[in-house]
Amino acid sequence: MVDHTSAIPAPSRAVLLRAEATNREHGHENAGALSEASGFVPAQPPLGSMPPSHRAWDEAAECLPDRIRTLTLRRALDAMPLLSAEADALPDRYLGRASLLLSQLAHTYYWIESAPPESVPACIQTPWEQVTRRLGRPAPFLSYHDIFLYNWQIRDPALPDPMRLENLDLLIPSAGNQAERVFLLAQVEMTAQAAPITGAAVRAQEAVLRGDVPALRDELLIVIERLQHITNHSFLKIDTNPHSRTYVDPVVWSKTVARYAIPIKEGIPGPSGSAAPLFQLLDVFLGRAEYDSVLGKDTLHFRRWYPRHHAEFLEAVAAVSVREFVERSGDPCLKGIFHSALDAYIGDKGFLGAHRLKVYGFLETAYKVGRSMTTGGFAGSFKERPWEGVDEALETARRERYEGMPAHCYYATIKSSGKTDEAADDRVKHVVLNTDGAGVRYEPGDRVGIMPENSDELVDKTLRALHATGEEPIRLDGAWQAAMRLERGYEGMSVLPLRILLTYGKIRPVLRPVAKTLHAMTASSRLKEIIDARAEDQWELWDLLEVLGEAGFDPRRLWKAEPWEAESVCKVVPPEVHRMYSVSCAMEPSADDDADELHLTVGSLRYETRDAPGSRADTRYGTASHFISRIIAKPADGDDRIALRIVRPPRFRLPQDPARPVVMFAGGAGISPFRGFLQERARQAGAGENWLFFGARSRRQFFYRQEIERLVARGRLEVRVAFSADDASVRYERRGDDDGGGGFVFDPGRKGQIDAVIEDEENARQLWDLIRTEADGGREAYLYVCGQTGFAVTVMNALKNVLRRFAPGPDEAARDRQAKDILYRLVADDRYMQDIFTTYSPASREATGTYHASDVALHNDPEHGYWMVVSGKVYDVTEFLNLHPGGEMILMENAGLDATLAYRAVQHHVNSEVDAMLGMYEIGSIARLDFSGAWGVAVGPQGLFYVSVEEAFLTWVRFLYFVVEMENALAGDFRFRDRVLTREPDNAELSPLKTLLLIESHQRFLAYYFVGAFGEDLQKLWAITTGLCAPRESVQRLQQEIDAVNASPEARVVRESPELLKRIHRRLLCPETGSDVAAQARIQAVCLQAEQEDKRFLAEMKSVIRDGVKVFEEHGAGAVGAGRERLLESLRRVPGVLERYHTALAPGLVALQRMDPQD
Amino acid sequence: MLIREIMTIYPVRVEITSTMRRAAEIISLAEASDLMVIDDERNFVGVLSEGDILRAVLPNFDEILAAGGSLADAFDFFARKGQELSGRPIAPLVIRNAIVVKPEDEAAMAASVMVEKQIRRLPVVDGGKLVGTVSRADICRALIYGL
Repeated sequence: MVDHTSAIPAPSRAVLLRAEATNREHGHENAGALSEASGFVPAQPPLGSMPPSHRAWDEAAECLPDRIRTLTLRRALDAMPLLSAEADALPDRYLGRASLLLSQLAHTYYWIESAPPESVPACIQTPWEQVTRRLGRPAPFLSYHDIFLYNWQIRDPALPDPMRLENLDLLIPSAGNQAERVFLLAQVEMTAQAAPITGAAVRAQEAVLRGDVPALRDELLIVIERLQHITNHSFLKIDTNPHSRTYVDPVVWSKTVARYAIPIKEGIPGPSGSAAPLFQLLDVFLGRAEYDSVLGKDTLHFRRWYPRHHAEFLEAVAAVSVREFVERSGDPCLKGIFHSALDAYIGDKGFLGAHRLKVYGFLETAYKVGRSMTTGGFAGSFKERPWEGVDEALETARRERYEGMPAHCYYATIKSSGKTDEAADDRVKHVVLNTDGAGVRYEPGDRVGIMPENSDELVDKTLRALHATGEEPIRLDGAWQAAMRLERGYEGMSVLPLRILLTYGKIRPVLRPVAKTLHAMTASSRLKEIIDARAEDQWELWDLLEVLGEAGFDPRRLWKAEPWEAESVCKVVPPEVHRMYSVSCAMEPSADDDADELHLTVGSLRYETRDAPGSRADTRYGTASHFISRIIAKPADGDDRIALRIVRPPRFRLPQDPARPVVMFAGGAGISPFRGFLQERARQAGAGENWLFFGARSRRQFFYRQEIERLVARGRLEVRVAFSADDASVRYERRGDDDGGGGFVFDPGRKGQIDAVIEDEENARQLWDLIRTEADGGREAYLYVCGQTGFAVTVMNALKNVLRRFAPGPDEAARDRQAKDILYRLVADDRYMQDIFTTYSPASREATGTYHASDVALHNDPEHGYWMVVSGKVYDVTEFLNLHPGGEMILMENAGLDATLAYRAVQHHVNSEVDAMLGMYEIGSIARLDFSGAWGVAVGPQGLFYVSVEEAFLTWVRFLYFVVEMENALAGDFRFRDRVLTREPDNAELSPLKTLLLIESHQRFLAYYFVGAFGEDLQKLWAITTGLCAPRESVQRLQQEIDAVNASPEARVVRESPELLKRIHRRLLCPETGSDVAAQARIQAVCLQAEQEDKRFLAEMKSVIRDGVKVFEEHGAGAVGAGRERLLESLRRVPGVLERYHTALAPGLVALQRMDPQD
Repeated sequence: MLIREIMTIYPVRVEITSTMRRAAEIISLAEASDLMVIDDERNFVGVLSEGDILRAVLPNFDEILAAGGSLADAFDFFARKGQELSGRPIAPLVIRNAIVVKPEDEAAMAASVMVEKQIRRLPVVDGGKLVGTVSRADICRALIYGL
């Protein structure tokens, strides 16, 4: 026997050992921190001070927050002595700190004032270059290694797991605000918590070299566990929810922290995420093949700027392909685990997916309110939604990482299925899947995505409606080809028989875009009625096609069309998507690598549609549940495989500390995840108390009753039940000496919903105790809600009532506020987690109210509340602002308007549980207006053009929403005024920094919002409106009047106000004039007035445009007849709004001009 | 099926030296939307379509502004400009690189180009001479009646 272990040295091991030895020997980590114990984080804490000779740098850094707040940084640094950083003056071990100090000072010097300086003073630049040369870097730059990894200190090293944000401080804060602290230290925590991945990567390489599959599996499991930890724990600490303990205010972040991400010089790397060594390592380790995207190229570029040890380590890890070994091994379990690791990193619920979602919110805010993003000025108008380009780049880079990776999903067979309990009915089934050897792993709270197939019966009906046999070959479009990569037996197919396509396609219920496509093809008036009634979901494709066929439509067009044509069956029948189920069990503790079984709780959906103008009577079945029921019903031949994937929601998992109590609220089949929770809790040593509030229809739907009974008997569970359609109440009766012989007893009672049980005196008192934190004298429980949208609303309202009842306070209003605070904090602490689903039922579409765009546009401020439109539905998100995991800012930015684009940009629409949560806030839908095809012509840049009244209305609404979006952005831009921007509390007074930021916000308003308000959009609105309403009105009149207003002396003063304000502000910062308190008060007053007037201007513009929109809403097609005068009148008010704005602002500015010698 | 089997051999045509008034008369009398333009030796020059004439009469943005800037001004201008144009030669409006077919071409060729380019009538040209036209209607008739 030959022992290969020692025969093949792993290249990454060699680099790791060498780095550890070098760093130990040198006593510093200038060539790159790298160790098995600490990963990329310095093994020795970063130095806290420079030698006495270089104390000047330390002192400058200590004053940073103050110098930023008072805008005195440049003056202070200009006066700093020039110190040498050559080897004879500064020992090697200080280079890390010197690099951090100098690059931080240089960058702050650069961005602190509005205009960048011509150069950074020699007392910083010269030593910075010396340090750079000595560290072997190509050029001075603010590196990720400096500002993140060498910028922390531990508060208490004796604490277990000390490298956590809560136990860390920044070594050298710049502004010193909380956003900076959390943003930087969360990334330190992530890198530190991921340290075990370094060793795992090395050992995985060794395992590959000796062909040791089990050892490689173990290392991959470490990678997965650590990745999930940083994704679902450390990363979530960068929290945009204002009630969070680790709140990162996106506005404060945009105005202070974000500025450091921009390199001073072009072509020099900045400290961006692509530069993080952890992700460079994961790319290399998991075998990323492509780096062609913009960010991919960045990634490679950054690598060339890396410290030596890191560059060598990445190269050494890349030298052996783990991915190829996994593929060659042919071991399905290993493959499954490797793909779990990929998913944990790249997946849409993995780290990069979560990262992209979070970044989106920051970017939108940064583009709207951030400080100047280019050296020349602001980033520009946000009308083109430039942040979506950045988001797209992130997404391209994420997808790029999948290139060359084989498609993967898990396959399982049905092991058994049956009722959840002897006494329960069988509409909800307990299904056990056999996943043995597939590499499936899960935790309670995870979801299983099941790819459903349509029944032969439904496919046959659809084929008949299509006048097809099913044998017709269909060329697939891109979406279909991608989807079929995961269907066993059809991988790589570009042509499918029609029958197979219908089996895997979405043919029920009819989707709205499909209904619209079919209407475009057929112009069917019946279909238009259905669309107008929003009743398309009452239909399945086959019966809708039959209706269209009766009116002469030839359905064969669909399967004869080419795949790229809109009418192609590939577009009308898109591929099915995974349907989500909660995992109903906990992984057996004996399972070391993967799970043998996976349990589901599956309800069967069956409903009747009615014979009504918009629908026709039939019995319909839910696609996915019907699919599983059919497989269950078949004799088991082991051939019916189910394709599935495991989805890990970022929240909805058991507390890290098992001692915490757990309170579960289950609505019907919402019991599903809690079965897994309870199994896991039963196994945990020292697990805290468990509570289950269960809302069911009747005792026949008391799912898993006996299992629950056993837990109650053992004292592991408290259960409270409400039956909504059964006049009974439930209590547990102990018999004998509590040996588990007791059971549930049904007493006569009143049927009711879960809220009655929650608000019951004794239960409410328990909940009040459970909810409060230990600091407040409570038990600090974790609450979980699983059920349909309505159930989730009921539970939340009931809990609010409980909190209101017990919250302390002198009066009802105070108690109400207190109750809300407790709830918001509960959510922000991730102690209130929801897993909400929608089960389609015809009743769910029974109408709520209808609203107009003019109603929605009013709701974007605290006074009116916050509404938004998503896909034609109206939502009141006023309360949700406090609960949204993505924070309030992104909602406020999109309030009062149609937010469908933003909603889809973050993929919320394809996440059924997010969609279901949104449903909690639905108040109605947008009214559809009938313009009866009325039209006219108008004068445009190309001459005369056709315009329908409907198009005119949409142009008005788009402009209204644009004004609302500007209002939101402006409110956000000024929101910094009462926030803490620097370490010294500065929220009460207007610091010099805040005054400058006020001027910059006002400048942005003039530079971009004015252009938006008076640009092409307004011209087009005028042209269309005069075209339809006032043929004798000049198309240029409005612009001429605006030009006349702009020609006034007042307008000129206002236009030039930002420069005037900046000049005076700068002069007041000089030591000689700085003490002129009266002058400072005057400029501050003018700045505050500018803010008021800027806001008032947009409010008045909104009122003007809203009046026009209302004309359409009131008159429909008659808007250009009966409503013509009102329409024109509203636009004619615009020049007056502008004039009033100038008149209001000019006097204060003129008074200030006298303080400005340049004038 | 060949073009020469189905084409119209008496094409609606106009000489390149004609005025707009003359072209408008022919269009209205012949109820044709496209005129074939020839020179004095019956060589094919190009096509004049009623759409192009209308486009020439429709005012552009600057003309509307010069005329007063309102929709009503645009409508007045439209009417006036038509009168002004009537005495002018058609030459500037003729499409000279028109798509043509030959008598020996397949009808299906003509059909596909007409559908794709949204052309209603194609000139049939043989040795530089205009010998006929083929329209969508010609092809439909030939197909359905079987000629």
